Amino acid sequence: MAWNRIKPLTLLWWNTGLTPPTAKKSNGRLPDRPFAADQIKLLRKNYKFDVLGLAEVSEEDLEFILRHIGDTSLAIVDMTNRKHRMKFDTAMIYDRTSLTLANKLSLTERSGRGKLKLGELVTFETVSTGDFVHVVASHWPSRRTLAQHSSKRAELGMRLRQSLEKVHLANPNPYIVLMGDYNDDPFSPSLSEHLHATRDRELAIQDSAFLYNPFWRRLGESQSFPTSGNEVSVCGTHYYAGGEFTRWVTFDQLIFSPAFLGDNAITLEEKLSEIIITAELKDRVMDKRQVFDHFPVSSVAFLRREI
Amino acid sequence: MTDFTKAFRQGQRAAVDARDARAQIDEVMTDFAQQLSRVTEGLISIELIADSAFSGLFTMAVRLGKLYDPSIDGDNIEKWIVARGSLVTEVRRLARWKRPHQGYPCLITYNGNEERCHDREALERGLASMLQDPWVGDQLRQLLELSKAAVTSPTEGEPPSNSVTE
Repeated sequence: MAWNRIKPLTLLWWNTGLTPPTAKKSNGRLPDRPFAADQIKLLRKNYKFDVLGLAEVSEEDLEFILRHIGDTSLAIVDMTNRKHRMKFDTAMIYDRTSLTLANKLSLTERSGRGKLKLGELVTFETVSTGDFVHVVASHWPSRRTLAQHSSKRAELGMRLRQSLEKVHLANPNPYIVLMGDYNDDPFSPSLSEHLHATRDRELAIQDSAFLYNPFWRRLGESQSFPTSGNEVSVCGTHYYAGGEFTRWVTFDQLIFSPAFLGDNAITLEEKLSEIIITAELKDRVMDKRQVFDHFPVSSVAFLRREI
Repeated sequence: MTDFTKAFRQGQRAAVDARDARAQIDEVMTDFAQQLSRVTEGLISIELIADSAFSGLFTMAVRLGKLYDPSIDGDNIEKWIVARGSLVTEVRRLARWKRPHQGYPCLITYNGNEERCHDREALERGLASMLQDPWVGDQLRQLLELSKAAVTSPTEGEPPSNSVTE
């Protein structure tokens, strides 16, 4: 089949650190908002994102950010909710000239007295080609709240995978993007085994039970040694100064359904799956007095039209 | 050689477990409906209505049972948990409801929330959470007001209006 590329579909994710889910107040980190908003304005300028998923934001943070960017083509899908014991702290900013919001659903699992929040499923329709893209934004519990080897982490991965079955009912080969701070690396069982987010691209193409995780490529140092003078090397997406075996982890990822890997209307441009590093943000991320401890991540797919 | 005897026994156990789970769910749903009827002094009843009942061909809601009728809660068929005003024929859809053959997990979807409930306690908490939702609360409040208005000023000689609102 012959295709013409129409435009890129750029998806970003950033855990801002502004208002964590445990925060009692929604405006606890006011002095940090301008820097976060500046970073997002820069992301918009440099990447022209179509979707930016955010974690650790409040309704007030989002209003401030949108005002600061001053781009009227952007709209917010506010999925934050701090009214109940379980706090929801994620949102998406999307470009209305590129995408139309079709549906949104908050996914939770209940077992006994427990409740797991899997993520927020938002369905967009692309304006230029009329395709549906299902984006799930997740912010899974930290390892302080839910230990690294807790069985509940496995359950998060398994249940998220199961919750996507309804999307497959409507379309056997859907475009699904998972984005989030999973508080787990790509190799953690929750993602690699229970969510079935594989590093093996051919396996994902052959077996639609799998998802493809291009962020396996983002483990380890981003620049080879020795680095040239100006290059900024990082070793993951999140920095924790107290780490016992590493201070860096790759908790923030974008994961794709196999539809993006075929000869289809939307295809992944894998080399553009990257950790977005600026020297200014790196200084703040590595300063434990700062609230910022995550880098944004990005992926790009291309919308195509059959010739 | 395949042990079909063992497989058969496992299947029979699974069938019994599924039957017990469905019976448990029926109990919870019936209790939910009865409590709501009591607290609203009979002005609101809860029913389960199949998705097909809201097809565009229908101009009025098809009533499939008083209160919650377990016999119509079939396998894997999507249904709606609806609230009906007892003195008006107004029906409000509160949530999508899905219960598989094995009983759990049940799926309750309302106002942009999807809750999958894996056991009895989870289902009870899920239904309670649904009642606490402001949109669901608003649907019930509107129904209550309509029903109370019907009590205080009943219309005579007019056919009832049949309307279904989400």
